[in-house]
Amino acid sequence: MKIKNISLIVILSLSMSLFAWDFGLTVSNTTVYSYIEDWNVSQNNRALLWISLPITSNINLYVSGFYEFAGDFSTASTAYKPYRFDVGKTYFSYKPSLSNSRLTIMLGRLETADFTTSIYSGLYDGFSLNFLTGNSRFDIQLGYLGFLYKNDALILIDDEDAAVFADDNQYFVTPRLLAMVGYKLDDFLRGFDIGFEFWSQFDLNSSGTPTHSLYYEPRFVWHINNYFSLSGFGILSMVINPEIALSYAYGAEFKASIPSFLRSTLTINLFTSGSVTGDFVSYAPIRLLSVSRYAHGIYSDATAISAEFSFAPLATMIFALHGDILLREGTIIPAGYAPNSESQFIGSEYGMQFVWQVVSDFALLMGGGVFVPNTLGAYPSDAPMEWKVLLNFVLNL
Amino acid sequence: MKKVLPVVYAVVLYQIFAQSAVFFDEILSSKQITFSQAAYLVFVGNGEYQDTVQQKVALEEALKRKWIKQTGNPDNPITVAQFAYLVMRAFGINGGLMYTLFPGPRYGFRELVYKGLIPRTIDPQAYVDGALALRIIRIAAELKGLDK
Repeated sequence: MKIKNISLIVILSLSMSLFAWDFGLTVSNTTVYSYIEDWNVSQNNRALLWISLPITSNINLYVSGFYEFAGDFSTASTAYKPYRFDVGKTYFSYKPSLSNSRLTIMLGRLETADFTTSIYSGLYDGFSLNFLTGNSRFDIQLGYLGFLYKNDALILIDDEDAAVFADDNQYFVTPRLLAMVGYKLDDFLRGFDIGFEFWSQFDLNSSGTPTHSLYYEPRFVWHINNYFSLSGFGILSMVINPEIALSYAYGAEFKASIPSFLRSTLTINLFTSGSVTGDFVSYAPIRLLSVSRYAHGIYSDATAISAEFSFAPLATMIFALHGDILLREGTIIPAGYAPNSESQFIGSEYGMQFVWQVVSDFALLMGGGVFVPNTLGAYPSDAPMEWKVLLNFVLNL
Repeated sequence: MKKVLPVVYAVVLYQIFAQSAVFFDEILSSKQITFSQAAYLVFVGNGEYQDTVQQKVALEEALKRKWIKQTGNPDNPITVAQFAYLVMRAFGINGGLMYTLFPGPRYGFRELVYKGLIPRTIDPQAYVDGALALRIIRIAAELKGLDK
């Protein structure tokens, strides 16, 4: 289930200080109830201990690690891990004092994401350089992905990744090198921001056929005025295994904000994860990406057109209602489709979200919705609806 | 806008500390404010005392109310976290869950960072300089509508 971009951890981290000696414990709970033909509850509890230690006025050390309980429960099976300990974000950061620009160099276990989280989002072990000058921003990142827990990293590019994911004896993902270069220019024209990123991953697995992939993602944001904005991006990807194949993804978003009416926002979003068409193959990002919010198994070969209306009765509370239409892209038929179906309309999704930062150190998110399959020519007439409900709360100690 | 802000900032503070411009200037240029200066600032800032009150009296009152612990020497510098807690109590600012359960400098500091009174880059164990102290007092007074 895709949740709002605002993660609760991020919201609560606003009360933490950067570049200051401090420590804390962040306790979080995530419960996901889903129902297709049978119910399933996925439970995750995490206690993350973090320490921030300034070494000099320019160098800071941040260390974090966590304990996690994770389980899946249904009438058919129960599977849980009573404990797991792992390293969270842990890094040295160096910010030299510069007069008209800002440079940040980080080394360790870092967090990253592309512009639209459509290529990769998550941790990596390595190095990053971020340079801001004027209205330009440059980014370089280089790191290793082989020390990440497979269920967190969700790196499923080829069959070997799928085999590792299914193997209960494997903890880490397939070893890979991650590299990224990015540039962003704000106000290229008045109110018009542009940027691009190059991402690549190189398969370091010594057995089997390596699968490397490269991604180019240009993006623009047009702040039309204080109320309206329009953004768009495209991704062209090249997969080498060892034959070279191309794939694509693209998206656009129109946002209308009405601050005077309960800080409300209307968002119309389009996202396409490319499919087998012409010379292209299905789009495979580095981290698995779902096109749908509630329907399972729609990772590519589909388009989602979404409308969301959100409003904030309090400055610390947001309600959002949304509806999505899912359409097939290309020739690949989604799992569960009626045989020989030609229908492009996969189904629709409806849901809501509620985010409330109750106090500075406690926030909760509730959300849920349903996928209604198109049973008029796409899925069999008895195809069930798919329900999902999520409860997430975070406490900073 | 950048030029206007310092003027507004100064006007608000001069309203609060109207009678003591010399003290105000002294604080503003101070690299480390003391416990007694901090107590004076919060009691005058919240309007409980006139700005003619002696710093010693203000400090005694803060100690009596257990807003600050025994300092040894009232001229010792106060840390950002200690000052944050003093401001939280003096201005009656509500804190989060942990502050409610365990009120003190640690969670007082985090609350004021969250509310934007203290920049996120400030070390809670650093000493408070005069400009920061006045900034915190100014925003706290604005939050509570005491700047009118």
